[in-house]
Amino acid sequence: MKNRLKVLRAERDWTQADLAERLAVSRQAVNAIERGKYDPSLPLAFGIARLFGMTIEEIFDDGHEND
Amino acid sequence: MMGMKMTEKLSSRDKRRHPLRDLFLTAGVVGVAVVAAVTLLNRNPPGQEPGFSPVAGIAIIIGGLIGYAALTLVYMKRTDEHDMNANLWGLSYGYLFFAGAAPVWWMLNHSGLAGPVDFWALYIISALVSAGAWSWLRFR
Repeated sequence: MKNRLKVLRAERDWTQADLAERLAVSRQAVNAIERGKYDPSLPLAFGIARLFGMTIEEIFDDGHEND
Repeated sequence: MMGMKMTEKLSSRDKRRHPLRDLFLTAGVVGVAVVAAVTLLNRNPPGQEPGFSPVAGIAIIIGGLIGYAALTLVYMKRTDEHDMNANLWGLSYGYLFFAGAAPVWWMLNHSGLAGPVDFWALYIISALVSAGAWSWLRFR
């Protein structure tokens, strides 16, 4: 699943480790999500959205067109 | 959003950043304790197959199971969902290997094409398959 995590993180000048610390996950987890190798659970996706002050849809793109 | 300060309070789950350190430390302690018990309670001379009294055998089993349970609890408490996902898939691949390899080896043995099934070898190879799959999913 595509996402804007890397861009959003870069805008805040955070490292992967910084973001991982805030989300209480490993740096490898952040790296895997950014590269689309791992899709986060709903609780983690909500946590990411809350951290950036956005909705999940604004961060993650499942490739489907919205109506 | 630019220049946003990192002011959010860190969660108490911050300790989950170092799941592997705690896991390996616990595994080391449990491993040393089990090896020490097996060495000290072995009543056969070196070079022979190990032998234990029933009491010693049961004591080692109970100690090992308690250590195994502690190890599992530490892992469950300290891991994150990405690592857990890798772990579950790793375990699945390990089991799939075992479930496929054991009957194949048995049939080869009963067809005169291989020696008897060595379950310790299957156990170790299955564990290595699990560990390899977990590592790949965790660190790729």
